[in-house]
Amino acid sequence: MEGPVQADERLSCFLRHSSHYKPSLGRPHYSAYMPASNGEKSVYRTQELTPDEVRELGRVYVEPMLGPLKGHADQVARVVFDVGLTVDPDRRPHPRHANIRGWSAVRAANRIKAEKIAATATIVIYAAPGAAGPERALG
Amino acid sequence: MTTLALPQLGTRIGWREPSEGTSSVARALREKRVKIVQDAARSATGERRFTSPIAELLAGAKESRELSQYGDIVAPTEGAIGEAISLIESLPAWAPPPTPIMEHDGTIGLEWEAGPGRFFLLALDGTGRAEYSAILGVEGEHYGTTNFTGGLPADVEAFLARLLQG
Repeated sequence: MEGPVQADERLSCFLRHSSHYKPSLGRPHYSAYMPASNGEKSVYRTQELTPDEVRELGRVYVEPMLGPLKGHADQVARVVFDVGLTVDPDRRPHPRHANIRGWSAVRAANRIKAEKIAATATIVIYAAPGAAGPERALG
Repeated sequence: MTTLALPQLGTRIGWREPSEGTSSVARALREKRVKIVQDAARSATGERRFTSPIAELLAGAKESRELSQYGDIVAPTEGAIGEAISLIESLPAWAPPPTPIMEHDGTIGLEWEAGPGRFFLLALDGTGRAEYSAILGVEGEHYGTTNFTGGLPADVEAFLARLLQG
């Protein structure tokens, strides 16, 4: 991916904990979008990728460092921009990698921003290894 | 959706097996374990479902402990878990049970949602401090920090009430 992130681009973040999503709502929880201790939220620019291709991105570039993935959440960049955050291309460890930046130093304020992003996001939950059936797209 | 009892779920949600004994403490532990196991079940599709926020809280904490081996997820402290349980158990009768959420830094969020654009969250980290975040539709957004003394802090109770009143 080249150039700055466009408002209508799809961004995907990987879900690692059951607290990151609620299948009954078909969307992630705010916690899926909270910044890490470095003040950034890692995402991938996944416009035009299929759910399987997004999952493969996570399997190759995320799982070796951060452990098994439960799924991913999709949101368009416009929603991130609308809460006053930026999405900066990072291109490492993959050309599609980017970081959501501009978070507040106040965690309680960040939870409101994260909830606003999560509220209209959708999720794709991966089938457990060995389980029958395809992955489930929700939302 | 039907639910099925899950044998031996007590060990799956992080309950440490209490030593057998006849003391009131041992008896209370056994009774609490049985209740937590009864409160947790799996749906017919295998998705874990909970009827108790405390069972869900303990399962989430166990998952965080397992994921902490990867470095960027911190398990909640016993203090944070104790605060969250205390808050859940002391909620006023009019408050529905919250959804416990584990954050990556060990903070526990207790979340209430009341439809699109209506959200209230109390975050506890075991330090005697509670952070609150509220989105109340046209009433706007509110966030801040207050002291936590074991129950729903009086100065944020109004936010939860307003969320639920719609």
